[in-house]
Amino acid sequence: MKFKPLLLRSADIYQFFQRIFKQAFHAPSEWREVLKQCFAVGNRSFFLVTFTAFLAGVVFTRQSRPSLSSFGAESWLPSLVSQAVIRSLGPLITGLICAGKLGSNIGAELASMKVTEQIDAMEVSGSRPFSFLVVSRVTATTLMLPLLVVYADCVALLGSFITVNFINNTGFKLYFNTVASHITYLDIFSSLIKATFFGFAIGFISSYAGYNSDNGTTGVGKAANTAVVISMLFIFIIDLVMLQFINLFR
Amino acid sequence: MEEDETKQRVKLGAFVIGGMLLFVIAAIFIGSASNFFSRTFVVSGIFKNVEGLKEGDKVWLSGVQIGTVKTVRIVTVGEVVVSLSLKEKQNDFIRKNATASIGSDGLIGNKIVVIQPGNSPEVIQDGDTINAVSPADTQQLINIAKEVGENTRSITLDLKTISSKINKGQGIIGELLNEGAFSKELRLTVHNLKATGENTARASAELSGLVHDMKHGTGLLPTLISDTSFKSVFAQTLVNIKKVSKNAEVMSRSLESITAKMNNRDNAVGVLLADTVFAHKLQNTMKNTESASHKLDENMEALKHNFLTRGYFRKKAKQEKKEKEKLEREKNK
Amino acid sequence: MDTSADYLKKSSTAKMGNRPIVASLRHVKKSFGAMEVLRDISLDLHQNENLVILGRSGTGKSVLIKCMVGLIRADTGEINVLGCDVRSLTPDQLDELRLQIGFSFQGSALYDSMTVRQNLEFPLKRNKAIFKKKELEDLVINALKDVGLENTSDKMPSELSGGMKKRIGIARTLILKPKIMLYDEPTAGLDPITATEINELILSVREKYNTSSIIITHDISCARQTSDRIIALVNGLNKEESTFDELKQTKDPDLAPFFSY
Repeated sequence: MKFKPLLLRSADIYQFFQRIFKQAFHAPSEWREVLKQCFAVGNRSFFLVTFTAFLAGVVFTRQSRPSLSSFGAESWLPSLVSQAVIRSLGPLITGLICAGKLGSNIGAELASMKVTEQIDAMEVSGSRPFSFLVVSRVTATTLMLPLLVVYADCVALLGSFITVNFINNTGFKLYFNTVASHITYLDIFSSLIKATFFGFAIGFISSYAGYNSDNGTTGVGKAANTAVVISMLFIFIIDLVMLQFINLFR
Repeated sequence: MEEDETKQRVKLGAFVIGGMLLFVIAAIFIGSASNFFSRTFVVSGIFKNVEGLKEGDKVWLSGVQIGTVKTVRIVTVGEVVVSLSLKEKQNDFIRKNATASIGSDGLIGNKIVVIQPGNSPEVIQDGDTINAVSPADTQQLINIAKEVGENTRSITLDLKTISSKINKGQGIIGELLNEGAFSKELRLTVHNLKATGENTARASAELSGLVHDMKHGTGLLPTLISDTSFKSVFAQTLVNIKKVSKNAEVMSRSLESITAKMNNRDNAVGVLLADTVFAHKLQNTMKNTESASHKLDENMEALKHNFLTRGYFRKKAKQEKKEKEKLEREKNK
Repeated sequence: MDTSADYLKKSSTAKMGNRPIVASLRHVKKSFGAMEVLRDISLDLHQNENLVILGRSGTGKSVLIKCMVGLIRADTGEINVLGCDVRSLTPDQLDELRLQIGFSFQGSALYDSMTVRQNLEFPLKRNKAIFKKKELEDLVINALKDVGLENTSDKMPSELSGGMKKRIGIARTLILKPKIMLYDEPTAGLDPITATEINELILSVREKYNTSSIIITHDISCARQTSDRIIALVNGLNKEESTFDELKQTKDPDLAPFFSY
């Protein structure tokens, strides 16, 4: 009998999922709110993504240099870094940062609206809070994550370039020519698709946690916590699953 | 009614969880079966040494990846069975007598299996055994490379001494190339030979006229000549002389052309002097340069009238004028 | 023994005469897990009437009115509001019905990321698709005037006092011109003077908008000031129904403590 709550919960999650898709494509569009949320998503995570991606580029470059130079393949550094950044590091870092930043934000925001009956207030005035609050946020994170990933890739590569330039005096053109020649369109597209899934997962999980939070102030904390932890967990799961599928085309 | 709904939701939940599990398992399974989208067939080969080949490594045919290594298994010492999973599409290209060998790809040296397609009329089938060519031992290869390297070195050394000798004008070739004393002598000889040849020809012509006179007999000699035995001997001699002189002429002519060539084409000045085409080209170039500078002048003139740059030139002209006036004033003082 | 419904029917017709009924509940039950919150509730709301539902905290008063607007689904029973069977409506029909019902929340539930003006404009934009600036402005100012706060329109909810928030919350529902008003604890957490102001506002709203109202409260002075009729809720049942003055004389051990302060 212990399975029952789990099954009920997963049914609930599935219905939430279904509702998002139904309203995203059938209900009157919320482009105004989506735009606002897109801006919020970008605005909230821009600095963090910049900072972490840059540092990741620097650190990764510095750490992989010794092992490459031990067999005289230092010139492979740009291609190694670019593949690592674009295939894995960029999406993963952006995903995790956004899961932390946006997940807690969305989770807490919706949960506190739920607790203070603001969502109910929208509901009883017939204002369709689900599409206004949830669909717009999920759409925004789904659309914005790929953009943020592209940005993070660029920043990480820049960080890597600055490191390489500092140590080896490699020129800008040479570095990015090497990078460009070792990246395939498959790498880029798969990373963007992955980012789209990351974005959807973050938006979906956080909204679900917030929208269905318990009443009371502890509910807000719990929702924010659930949003972040589960989003991060799912980012790794999606990363693994996507890897398997992408390998089919490679 | 409430109970029914709960039951339905429980069922939905079970369905969702089941679906998710299935999806994840499928994803993990799919990733390991790498030739998922194309039908494959398996052939195997027996190697003595696979040099670190492992499952999942690539199989190449003419540099195109056509499959992966499925398993690597030691049967007995010195016998390793490697089974290859190949794309069915490439089936037609691989014949019964195809061979597989182990190579490496790239700098780091990932091992690959390279297939030579073979030429027998029969196509290889699923489950067939492919002839395996075990790779030469790496140390052996290195030894061979070393030997080749040694040989190359001694050859280049020899070449070096030879070329330096030639450069310094030692030996016949050197002298020839460097216009040494020998080549001057050679030219002189040829010249002399030519003169000799010419003299000989003239002499022989005179001789033949004399002989004619003698034949048709006026004077004392004809009697002498009408002696048949002497006559035939004499004619023979004449023919011989004629032949010699002709040969000398031919030889001198060809020698002359050789020396002329050597003179003219061997150095740049020679080319310049002898090659009229080149001279013509040079002349053309000079002409072009002249016309180009003329055009540049025109462009500058046009630029002066352009509204964008007019100001600049006007200013410049004014400045020049001022300077001129200044100079004149100074002169006047 | 008289069931509550029979009792209700008798008394309703007796007290309210022949005013039309705008909302009626019959045998409504709702339980959360093992806890039965509403056991068997039946009531009628008449046109232009202020009905107070009095009860202690945790007796399911809020649940009752949330069932009426479909925020909470009742387990069994009939809920009829403005001629619609709430429990069998599609989401779209439910939204349609909700436009005619004003709901004032206990915590006033203002959207705290928006200014007062945006709070009031929100239902207009989302439901009536009114986007003209002039029209919006007129409606907002009118609604704010009706609650006596016309110069707060550019403030954020966090800058307002509790009483002001309540008023803005009421203004936000009034802007849609509702036929029925549901007040959830309108005076909870307010000082007696502010509470009295809110009670007066409730009465003036009835005058101006000609609404029928259900007022949920545990505040006896609120009940006294606003009620035409009171239903006392005890243990998930509607126990007593009468006017305030009648109820004051009750000897019922569950209700007497309300009046004994």
